[in-house]
Amino acid sequence: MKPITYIVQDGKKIQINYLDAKSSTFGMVAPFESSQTNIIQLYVPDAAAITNIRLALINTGGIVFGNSTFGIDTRSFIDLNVVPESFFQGVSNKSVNSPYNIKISNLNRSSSRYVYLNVNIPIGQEFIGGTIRYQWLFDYA
Amino acid sequence: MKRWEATAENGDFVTEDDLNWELVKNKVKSLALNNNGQMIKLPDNCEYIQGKTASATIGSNKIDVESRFVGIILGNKTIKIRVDEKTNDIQIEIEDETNHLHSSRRKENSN
Repeated sequence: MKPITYIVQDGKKIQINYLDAKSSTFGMVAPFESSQTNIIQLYVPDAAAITNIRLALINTGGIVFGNSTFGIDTRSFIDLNVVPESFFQGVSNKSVNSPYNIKISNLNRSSSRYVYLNVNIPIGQEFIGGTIRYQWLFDYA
Repeated sequence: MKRWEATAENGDFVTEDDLNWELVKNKVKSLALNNNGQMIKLPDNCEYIQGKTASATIGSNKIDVESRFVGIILGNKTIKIRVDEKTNDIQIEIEDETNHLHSSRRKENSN
């Protein structure tokens, strides 16, 4: 089984390998600024169906965690104007049952809804800029 | 060996090594989870579910199986018996229509 993560860029969905805090995907983010919003989607083509999709924040990429730092929202459509108004409330540390995992609804049997992610650097905090890692969790039969 | 094992309505013994669940799920009269020889058997003649919970880091093209479960649907409730893939902990989950989750756990010694 090979799950695929897409990111929306220039109106197209392309497969990605990571979300980098400093350069490519989130852009340069100064203290007290919000990054650009990334729109990602999980697609598992070789499963009859996936259910119970969740997204975990497992590595902050060197950014000091705050409960309004890592934004997340979902939509069933792509809208480049959406800015997340909800936030991860903790780092999940790869725990399936972590209360910090965010439930993501299905768009169809093999795909998640579109997930909107951004980063807000708190004022007064040093931004190191590394690879932010998120982890998908899902059930399949 | 970890896998679901079922008896079909025609008496055939089938496992996940033999068949895709989608092909057999509506023809099952008994279902069990074989957890390295420890059999977790559900009541006969129910509406069954089974599955695995997987994790995948963004960009990784492989999954890790975190746990697997078998369960039955009773009215508006789904009862799952879940076994952690690494620790063999067994967890009972009861979900109702509002997706509220109740659970109880016990530690299971692995062989």
